[in-house]
Amino acid sequence: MQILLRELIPGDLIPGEGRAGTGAEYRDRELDVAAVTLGSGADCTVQIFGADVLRRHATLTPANPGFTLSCERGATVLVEGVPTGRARLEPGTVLELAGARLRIVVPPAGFDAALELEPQTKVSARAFEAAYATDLEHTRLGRRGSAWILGLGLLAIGLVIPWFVHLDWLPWWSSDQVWSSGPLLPAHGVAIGNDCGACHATPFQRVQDAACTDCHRAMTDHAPVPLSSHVGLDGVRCATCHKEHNTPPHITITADALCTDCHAAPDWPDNRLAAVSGFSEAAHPAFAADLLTSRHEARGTGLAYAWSWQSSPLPEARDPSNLKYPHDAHLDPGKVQHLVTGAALACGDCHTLQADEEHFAPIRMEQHCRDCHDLKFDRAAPDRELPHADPREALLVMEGHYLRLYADPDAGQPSRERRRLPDRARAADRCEGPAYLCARARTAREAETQFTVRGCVTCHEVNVHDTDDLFGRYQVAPIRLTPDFFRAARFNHRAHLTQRDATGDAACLTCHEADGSTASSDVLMPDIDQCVTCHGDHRQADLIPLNCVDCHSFHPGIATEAAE
Amino acid sequence: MFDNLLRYRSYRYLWWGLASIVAGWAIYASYSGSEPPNGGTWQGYVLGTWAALLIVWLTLLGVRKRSYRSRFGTTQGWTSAHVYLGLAAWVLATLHCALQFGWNVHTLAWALMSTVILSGVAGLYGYINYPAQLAANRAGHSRSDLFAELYELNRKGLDIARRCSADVQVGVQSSVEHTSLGGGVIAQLSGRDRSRFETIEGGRQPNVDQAPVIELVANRITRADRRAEVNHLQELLAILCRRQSILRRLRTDIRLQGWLKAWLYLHVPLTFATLAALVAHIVSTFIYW
Repeated sequence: MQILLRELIPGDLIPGEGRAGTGAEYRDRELDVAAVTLGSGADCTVQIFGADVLRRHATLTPANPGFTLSCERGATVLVEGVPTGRARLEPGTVLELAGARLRIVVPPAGFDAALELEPQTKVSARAFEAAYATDLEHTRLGRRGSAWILGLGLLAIGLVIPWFVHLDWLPWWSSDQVWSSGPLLPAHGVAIGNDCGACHATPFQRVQDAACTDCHRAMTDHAPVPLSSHVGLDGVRCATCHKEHNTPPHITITADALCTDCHAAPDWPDNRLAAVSGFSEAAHPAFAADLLTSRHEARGTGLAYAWSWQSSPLPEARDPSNLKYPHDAHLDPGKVQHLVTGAALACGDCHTLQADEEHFAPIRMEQHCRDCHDLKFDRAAPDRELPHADPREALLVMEGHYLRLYADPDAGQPSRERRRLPDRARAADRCEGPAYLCARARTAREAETQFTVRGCVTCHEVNVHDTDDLFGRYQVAPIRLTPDFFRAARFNHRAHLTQRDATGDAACLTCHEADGSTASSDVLMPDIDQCVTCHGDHRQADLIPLNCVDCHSFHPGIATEAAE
Repeated sequence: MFDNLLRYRSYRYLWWGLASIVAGWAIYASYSGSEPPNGGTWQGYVLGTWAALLIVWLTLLGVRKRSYRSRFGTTQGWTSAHVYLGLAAWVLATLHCALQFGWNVHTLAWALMSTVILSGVAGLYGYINYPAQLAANRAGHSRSDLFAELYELNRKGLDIARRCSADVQVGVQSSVEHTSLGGGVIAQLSGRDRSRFETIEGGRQPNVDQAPVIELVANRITRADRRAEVNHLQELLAILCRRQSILRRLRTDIRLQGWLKAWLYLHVPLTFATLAALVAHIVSTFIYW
């Protein structure tokens, strides 16, 4: 849009020189703009300075004929002497702003609109300075407004919205995770997900034990309940020790202080535990073996056995398992060889480490002994064996075997052994009389041999009772092999099999002196002096550190089990 | 003044800040290893409470500054303590959280606080370095003096230009009208010159540092055919060069003043954001205790 701006430049003297200047004159400017802007800003079409003049004060938009006046909000210009914000200006109208005068004139040919301008004659330096934005205060930047926006915004994001989420008022919002101060243990994360309320059930209340025992149902107390109150554990919550939301995830206290704060000087009633302040021979008591011990009493024609755990210091400990087993003989290749390979027996031939890498699979006669220790009882009938673990059944097998020998004419068919040893064959079996009586007498003789000379008695303790009843005379004492000599401790066998100077059986023998053990009652467990050659507590920097909880559990089942 | 601010009363608050940091470290060192250091232990609560109280007190500097009748310490003393204890607060809050960070409101509070303290450090740098540069640039004059001189030079220049040829008249008048000074945030802080001027042939051209219009007038001198015009042009040239110098000083002044204040536009709003995040941090901690 073509607009003519005719500026009247008054004539005067050149300031400070006192010589004549030029006379008044017009200067025409042809503007190709959509509108004429008035204001103190340098980018306005007509720059007018003044205390009340905004940077963009007013806009004059051509409206044939004349202009439309539009001032910024709150601003006015004088239209024919009247303060006006918006108006339609016909040709001939005069505007005034801070001493500048504008007259709307009829546009000459070729122009859409025209203005005559009489510029300001006096402008103060302060007004001139105010025309420029020279301070950040003059910009859109603000401190107060942004402080409010940021402050309230943060309160909304950090407090109000998560609180509404907690109240289930915003079901479409993902979660109140912004309150989570750190990750959960992965297992808890999988089980709970983003459900904060699973543990934080009541606002402003600490996490209660029910939140834990909801899943950890079988968890045992550290000490029997009556003792708990005495030692200050009464009222201690699970979360007092087990704190979630650490980075990285960590929930179990491992420091020795957890234990030694109380166990360094145990002072509770009926204490049976020695003081412990760390892991060294001085700070930790010597080990005591847990032994499965039997008590027996007469019942009927025999003895009734009852088993219970007893603790004994290692040097005096004897394993009362009722088994006869010399480790030294079985590890001596001159005496015992593997039935197939002919090699010496190895520890692993009988002791198989279980998946927990601490305990070993139970020893079974059928699996571990019977290859060598068969249960044949009649040299003339090498294909017959006694059943194991059932003396009554064994007697019946013997009786049946001999009854058939004496009663059945075909039972005496020569075997290869009989052919090889013709003179001795059946010499002891000769009997004149009824077959049944002969068989009973023969069974009694063989039973005495098996239970008191060789056979069962080789490995078992046998009680011989004074009775005529063959079935009540011999009682094999039951065998209970102790499955864990240190029930209150953890130990990883596999980790300890890796040694610098020993492998295989030698690694086992480092701690378990089986090759020198002549009796199965020997408890082949190492004492603390063996452990401290490699391990120590945090005070011994040159050793492999062991915390209490590396070997002991804070929630041992046996503590409450013993009390019950 | 700012030197005095740091040295206030023989570095009294530097020692207070250092004592806070040393005590904070001592508390942190008391972690026994039972659990990883974190904000939920007694050490964490002590350090966190201490840091939170410091943050609230640091914020009160804005109140104290406006309490002109207050006799509760001097503003200079408060500001000195604000600097040193503000830095100590960062250490204490970091020990409180034990560098356990995550995408949560707790780390947000720490991050906002860190930004506030970092902007404060930037402000301190400005207060230490810029006043001397500002004084040197103004050469003993105030900004208003410079503007008054610029206005006078504009008026004189326009007067003389009217006595010159049309091309000079158009060029000088348009260069005065389209002189850019200050403006928006970026323009003020960068000192960028977007001045323009018009030639008689039409069209606006950049007039960066007023050099093109000065060149226009200087070239016109050699082509002037009247002695009077030569005198006018030489006088105009002197005015334009003086004007160029004043504009340079003003631009530098606006830029340095801008940087001297710019940090406050982060420091103040983020302080309130930090307070809000701190409230959210503390309240949410106890909602989900």
